[in-house]
Amino acid sequence: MLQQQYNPLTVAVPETGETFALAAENTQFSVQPDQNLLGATVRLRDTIGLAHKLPSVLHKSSRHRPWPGSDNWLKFPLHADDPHATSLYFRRRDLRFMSRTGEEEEPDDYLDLTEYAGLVAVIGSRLFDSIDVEIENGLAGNWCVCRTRVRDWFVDLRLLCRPETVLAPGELSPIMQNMDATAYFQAVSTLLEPEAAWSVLEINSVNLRQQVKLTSSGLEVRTKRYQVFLEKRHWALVRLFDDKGENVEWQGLCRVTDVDKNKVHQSATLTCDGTPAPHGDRNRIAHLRLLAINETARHWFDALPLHDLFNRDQEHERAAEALSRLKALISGPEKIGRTIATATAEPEQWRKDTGRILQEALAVGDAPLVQRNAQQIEAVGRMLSQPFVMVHGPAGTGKTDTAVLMTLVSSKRQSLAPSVGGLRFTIYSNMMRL
Amino acid sequence: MILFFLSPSLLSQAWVLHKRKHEQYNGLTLFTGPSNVAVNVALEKACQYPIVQSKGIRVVRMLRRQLERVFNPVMYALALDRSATGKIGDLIEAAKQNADTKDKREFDLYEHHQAFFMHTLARDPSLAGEEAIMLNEVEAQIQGLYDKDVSELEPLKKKYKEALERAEAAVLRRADVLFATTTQSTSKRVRRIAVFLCAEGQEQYEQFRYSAVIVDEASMLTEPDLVSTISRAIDRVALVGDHLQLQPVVRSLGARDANAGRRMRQEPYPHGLGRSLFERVYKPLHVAGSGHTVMLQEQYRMHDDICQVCPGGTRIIVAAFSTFVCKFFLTNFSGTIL
Repeated sequence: MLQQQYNPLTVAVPETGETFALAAENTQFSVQPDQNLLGATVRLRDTIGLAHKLPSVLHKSSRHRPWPGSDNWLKFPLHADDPHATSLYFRRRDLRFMSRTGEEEEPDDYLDLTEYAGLVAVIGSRLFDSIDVEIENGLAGNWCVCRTRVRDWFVDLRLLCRPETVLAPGELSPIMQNMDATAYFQAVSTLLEPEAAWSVLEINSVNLRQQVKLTSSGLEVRTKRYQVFLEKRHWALVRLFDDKGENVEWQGLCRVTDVDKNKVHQSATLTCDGTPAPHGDRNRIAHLRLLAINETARHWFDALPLHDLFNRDQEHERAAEALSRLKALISGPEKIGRTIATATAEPEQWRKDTGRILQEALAVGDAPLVQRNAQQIEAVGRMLSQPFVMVHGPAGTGKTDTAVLMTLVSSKRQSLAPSVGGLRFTIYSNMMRL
Repeated sequence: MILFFLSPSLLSQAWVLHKRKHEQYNGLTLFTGPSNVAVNVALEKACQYPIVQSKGIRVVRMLRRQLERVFNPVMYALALDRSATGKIGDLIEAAKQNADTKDKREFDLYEHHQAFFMHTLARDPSLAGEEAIMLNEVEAQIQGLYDKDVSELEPLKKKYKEALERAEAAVLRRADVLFATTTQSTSKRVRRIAVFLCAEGQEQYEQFRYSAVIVDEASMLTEPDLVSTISRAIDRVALVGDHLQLQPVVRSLGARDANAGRRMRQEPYPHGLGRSLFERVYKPLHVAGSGHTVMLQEQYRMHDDICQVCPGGTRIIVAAFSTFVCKFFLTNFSGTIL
């Protein structure tokens, strides 16, 4: 089934008697909602073992076990071309729809949401107290993005899988203590919003013609082609490989003490902190990997044992407190978790009325109307035939001109029946996503 | 800050429908933008339409009170501090001398739009009717006091204010289009005017409503700004902007990023005020093909050579700005956010 050679650690699922191996590389997700929107398949290119823990944890913790049809639910491995890939299948009825206020919503809202905002699913797991996988069905249905979030750092969870599967933090510790700290670190940094709190770089020094110069206190990274992402005060988890890039020669946590962003070449000096400096030939070309970079990496590393990782983070505490206050403010009589812009008019209505639109525009004396291009006329037409329109265009495409024409036409429209339903929008505030 | 904005109250909608039925009233259309400059540019363009010049469509440009005072000495007098002493005329002259240089600059800019200014129209009996005459009377009364001490103004202040607001209501009642910044169009002043708007036997309605709201440079407005403006629309909202060009100017980094102490410079402020409503709403709607979005593509202003370098116009340059931005657009804009 799964490759045992990566890692001696295994995880067993008692219900089925299956045993899964842990590996030590990154875990990558790709998510595909199924065509009928009955569920979603989460495909994990699993080399670290998290993927196998996910379902097993869910299995264990479910009050409704055995999960009906758990064979459908959990598929190993699905993809013949990629032996490490794993797929989890979540049925729609396994997913609970949660509003922002924490109330459960009717499953019908699920489809409303997918229509506009994509399919969003959150998988609870006790591995990181909860790993939340957002499945965003990029609207066209062709591709989707999955993002993971840790516990209540991010509160915009819209769809939760069985809230009861989220376990208390302490319960996880046996598994986590067995894990290689580095692997965990790497996993966290990959799974955690990589573009937000963490920058995960895998810089292959050979390919990028990057020079790693070993110094007595740490190492210096010089590069000609690659932007150095490091900033002062950053912490970086660094791994040095041998020339072939196979064996780890050294790994450690470094502090970025100097950054030189010269135009010709850029360099950053990393100083080891707490771990012994790498040794060996100075000035050689090594195979370097920066595993994770973060300003607060030091805190994270200090915070081991790992299950206590997030609780110790001061910023997290403050953020959580602020969020709870915000939530209390917001959970008023208004129901917040609803959707979306609704419009009463048929989208294509304006096409039928092109003649009238031109007439209206001429009525306001739009002499240059003949010079209006098709999109501008469309914009005015849509404004006349439907309650809401957005016009977007690069500089110099006549946005303001169009807006003025719209204004005048709308003030003069005689034949147009008012939209009795009026406008009704519900828009999630940006600020809700704190 | 809190999400939403909802359908206007039935009351105000009924009011507009009622007006339409009986007076062929189209309601007031609002053209708004984040800055006076944006609104002025549009007004400039609107003025080129013959129908606007011939008053077939009545356009009103409303400035903030501080600016109106630059035009009108009486308003200066009434804005004087209670503690001021001396003759009214002298104080006004002094105040004019010390007028804010920025105000003066704007004064120069605006001068040729005079015919559309709210404070001009409010004093024009041909438009504002009786109310304008009333206002002019009160003003004449005040001007008669120029040699007197400031304290004599006090009893007239309330009277003047009411006359002014009545006159402004009369202007708005007869106007077709209002040009004002978002700040002005949602200000307390407009709300006070609205009380007079429906004074004659009409039911009062608590908040001023526009039958249509067209927002230019909507991508430059912060979320609260835009929501408070478009929530006053009754049946049409059009947002015009380019989120790839301009973003809201938010000086406080905390408010802009809303990152709760985390540093995430790589993303263009995903959660804070720095990300406009336009930006959040446009992409999902556009991708969904919901028919709410129109993209203008034909370039009118750019030099041909530049167009050739970047066929999509400026947008492409901006989008290529950094890989992070691109990544952000590709991933985050696809639709969670709405």
